[in-house]
Amino acid sequence: MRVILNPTLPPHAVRDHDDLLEVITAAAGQKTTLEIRGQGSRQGLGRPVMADQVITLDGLNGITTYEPDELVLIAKSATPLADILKALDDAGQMLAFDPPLGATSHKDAKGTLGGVIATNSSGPRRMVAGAARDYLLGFNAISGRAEGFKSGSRVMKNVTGYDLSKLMAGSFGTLAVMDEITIKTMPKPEDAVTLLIKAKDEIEAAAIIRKAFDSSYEPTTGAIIPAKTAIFSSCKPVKDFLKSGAMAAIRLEGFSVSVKSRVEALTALLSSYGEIVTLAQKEADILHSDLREVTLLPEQNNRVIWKMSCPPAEGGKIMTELAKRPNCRTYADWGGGLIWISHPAGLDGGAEILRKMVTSIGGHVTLVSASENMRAKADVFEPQPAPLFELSRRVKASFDPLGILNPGRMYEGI
Amino acid sequence: MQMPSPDQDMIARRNKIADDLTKILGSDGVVSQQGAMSVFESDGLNGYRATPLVVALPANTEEVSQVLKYCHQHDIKVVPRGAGTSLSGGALPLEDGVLLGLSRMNQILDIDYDNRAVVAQPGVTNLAITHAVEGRGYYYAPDPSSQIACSIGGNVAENSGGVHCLKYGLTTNNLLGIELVTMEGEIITLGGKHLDAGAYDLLGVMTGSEGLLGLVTEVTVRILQKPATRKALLIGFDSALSAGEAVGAIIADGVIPAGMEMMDNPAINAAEDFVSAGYPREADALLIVELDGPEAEVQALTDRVAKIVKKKDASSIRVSETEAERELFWAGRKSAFPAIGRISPDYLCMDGTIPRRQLPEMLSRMSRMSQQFGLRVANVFHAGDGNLHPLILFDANKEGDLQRAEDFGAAILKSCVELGGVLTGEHGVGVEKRDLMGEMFTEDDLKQQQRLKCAFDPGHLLNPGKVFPVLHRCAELGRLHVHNGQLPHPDLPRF
Repeated sequence: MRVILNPTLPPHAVRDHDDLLEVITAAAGQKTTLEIRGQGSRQGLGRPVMADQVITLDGLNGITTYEPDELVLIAKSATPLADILKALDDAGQMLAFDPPLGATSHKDAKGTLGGVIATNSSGPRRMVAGAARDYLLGFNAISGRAEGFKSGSRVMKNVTGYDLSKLMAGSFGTLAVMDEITIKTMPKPEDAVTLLIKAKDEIEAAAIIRKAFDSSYEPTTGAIIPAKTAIFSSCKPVKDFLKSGAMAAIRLEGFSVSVKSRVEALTALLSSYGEIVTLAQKEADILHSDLREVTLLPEQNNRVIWKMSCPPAEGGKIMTELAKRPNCRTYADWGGGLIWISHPAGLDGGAEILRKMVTSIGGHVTLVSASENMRAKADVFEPQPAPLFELSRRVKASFDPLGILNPGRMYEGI
Repeated sequence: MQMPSPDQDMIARRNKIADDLTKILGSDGVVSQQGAMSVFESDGLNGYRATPLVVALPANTEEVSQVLKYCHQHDIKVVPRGAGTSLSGGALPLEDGVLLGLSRMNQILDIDYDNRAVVAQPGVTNLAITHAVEGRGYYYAPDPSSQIACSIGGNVAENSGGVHCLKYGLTTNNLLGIELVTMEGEIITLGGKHLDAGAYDLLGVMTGSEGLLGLVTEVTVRILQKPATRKALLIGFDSALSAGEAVGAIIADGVIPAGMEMMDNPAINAAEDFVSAGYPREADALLIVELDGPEAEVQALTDRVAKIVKKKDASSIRVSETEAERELFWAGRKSAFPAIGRISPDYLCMDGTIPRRQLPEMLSRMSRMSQQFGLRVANVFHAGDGNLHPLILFDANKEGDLQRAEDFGAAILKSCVELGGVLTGEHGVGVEKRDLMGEMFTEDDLKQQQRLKCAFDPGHLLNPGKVFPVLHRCAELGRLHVHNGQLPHPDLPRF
C-alpha cells in the first residue's frame, strides 16, 4: 500500500506555452515530479498522484480556431469544457463522443477539454459514434523530456506518421502535457427520442437491444436499467416505469422525419416484448444525462463505483450475476458493453470478483469513484499481463524517461 | 530513393537462414529461389523493386512468433507483407531482410452477430469480411478501392480509408482488437470484442504504424447493419470553386453524406470515355453525393442537398432512381484510375489532404505547376474530408519524365502541408513520402515518433528504411535533449 504524501513545492499556475516548457524543463533538470491539472475535476479518476509539485494549466485557455463547416475546432488544452460546448451549441454542433460533464447543463459543465481528452472520457453515444480518442485529430504537447512536439493535424483523413493522438487520449497526463488540441466536431441531431421497453429481466432487456441493433433503424445508444436502479432516475417516466425486472432504453437520433419513421418501425419490431413507452426529446435528454453522468448510481460514502467494459452480449448475464451479490446495484450502457457497478466498499470494493468475471469474458474493469485511500491501495486500472505491461512501461519511458509527469497515476511506475 | 545499404554478410548467409526458417515453417512456408521470389519484389508502388533475402510464409501465430524470435536473435531485418497492394511501398523488400508474408493466414475465425464483431486472420481480404456477413444484412464499413485484394492485416498497418470515411471513419475507428507479435516474438492481445483500451491505447498507435511496430496476426472488427436505402446525386458545376463551396454548405447544414466525391474536368472526361456513366463533359467539377439510411431520411436529405447545390450554382443535378443507376454514377469515379491509364502511358497517384476550404487555392496551384512541369494532371478527391488524389500523367519511356512527375508530386504534397494539410490521407508514408516527412514534422516531432518505435523494436529490425528519413539509433534517441543550451542545474546526475 502506498502512503499518500503531499507536494513539497508550492503549486504553479502555468501562464502560457513558454512557461509550461520552462516548468517542465526545470522539473526534468531537477528530477522533481509534477502533477498536471486542468480544473482538477477529474482528479478522482486514476490512482492518487504523489508529486513534488502541482501545476495547473490555467493560462492555456481559449478557442483558437473553430470552423463548423470544416468540422474542426482547435483550442488550448485547459479551455473550459463549458466554453467549448457554448461555441458548439451556437453553431448547432456537438462533441459526438458525448463526454460526461459533471453537470446536467452545458453551462455548468466542469473540467477542461484537455481533461476530457487525457481521460478519454466518452458517454453513451460512444457505442456508435466512437470515443474521445476517435475525435482527437491532433495536438501539440511537451513531453517529460521537456521537448515540444506535435502529432496529427487539423484534417479528417491523415495517416502521416504514427497516430500519437490515440496514445495521448486516455494517457492521464503520464506521457506529455498537451498545450493545444484539435478535435473533430459533428452536427447536432435535429431530434432525439428514447424508447423504454419493459423486460422481465436484464437478459431479456439485453436481447431487446440486440434486436434493435440487428435492424437497420440505426439506434445511437442502448441501456439496460434494472428496476432497483431505475428508481434513482431524475426522469419521472423512467423512475415510475418498473415494479420489477428491467427495461431497455433505446435512443434514436437524427433528422425529425427519419426519427419519426424509425420510432414507428422499431416499435413494431419490438412489439412482442413488454410495454413500450416513447420519451420525447426533453425527457429522453434527462435520461441520457442520468446515464452519462452515472447519477443512476448515487455516490455514497460506503460504496465504490466501477465500470466494466465487456463484450456487449455478456452484459445481461454479468448484471444477473451481480444482482445476486448483496447491495450491488448496476446498469449497463453501450448495449450491454459498459456495466456501471455500485458496490459496497468493504475490503476491496469487489475488485477480486469483478476482475475474475471480466478475465473470463474479455474486457477490463476500472475503479471510477472511491476514496483516495482505496484508490491508493487497489488496482484502479485493469492489471496487465507481463509482456503488455513491459511494453506500456517502455512506451511511458519513450515520452517521459525520468517519470516526472503524473507519476503512478495509472500503474506503479506509469 | 535511397534505402539502407544491404549488409553483404547477411546476404551471404541466405542459404543458412533459409534452412533455419524451413525447420520452423516447413518447405511450404519458405521461398528462397531467386525466380520464385520475383512476385514479392514490389507492392502497389511498383516503380520500386528489390529481391528479398528469403520469403517466410508462416501459417499461424506461433510460427510468426518463432520466425521473429529467430530473426531477433540473429539480428535479421524483417519486412511484413499482407496482400502487397500498398501504394506507398510499405512492403518493399530489403535485400538483406526476411520478407514475412501473412497470405497463408487467411481464415475468418469467428463471426459473432451478438457482439456485431468478426475475428479474422490478417490475410483475409477486406471484401471477404463483408461477403461473410452480408447474408445477415451486415457489412464492414472501411472500403479502400483495393478492397477486393487488400488484406485486413494490411488495412490495420496502413489505417486504410475509402470513400465513406467522413461518416463511417477509417480502419482505426472500426477496429476492436488485434493480436500482435513483437519483434522479440512476444504475443500480445490488444482489445477484443469490448470497447476502449482501459490503459494506454496501443491498439490505436499500432493502427497505421506501417509494419514498423509489430506483426498483426489476428484482427477483430466491428460490423454494421447495411443502411436500408442509398441514393446518389450527380451534380455538375461550371466552376470548381462553386463545387467546393457546395461541399462546405452541405456539411454546415448538418448533413454528413455517406460519400462525397469530386472530379475535375480531365477526370470527368477520362471516366466518361471509359464507362459512359452520363457525366456532364463540359462541367468544370463534378460532385457525387451519396446519402444512406432509412428511406424517409434519404428522400428528405436528397431534396435538401439538391436545394443547397442549386443555391451554389450547380449546372446539372441527377438523382439515382434505381440501385443500378446509383452504381453507374459510381462506376465512373471508381474506374477513374484505369480510365486515366487509357489516356496516358503512365501516371502517378498522389494522396494528400488539405483543409477543404483551401481547395480552390490548391487547384490553381496545381494548374500552375502543371504548366511549370509540363505534365498534365487529373484530379479525384474525397471532397468531404479534403483528401486529394491528383493523378500526374507522364510517359516513363520519355527521358526525364518520371523524375519530373515525381518532382511535381512532391511539389503538390509540399503545397498540401503549406495549406494546413498533410502528406498522406490514406496511402501511408512508406518509402514514397519518407523523404518529405521533414516538410510536415520538426526534428523533435520525428524523434518522438522514433522513440516510440524504440519502445516496440529497440534494434530497428522491423521494416527499417520506411516512414522515417533518418534512422537514429535508439541509444542516441534516448539521451535527454538539452534545451536552449542546457537544462538547469547541469551538475545534477542524469542518464
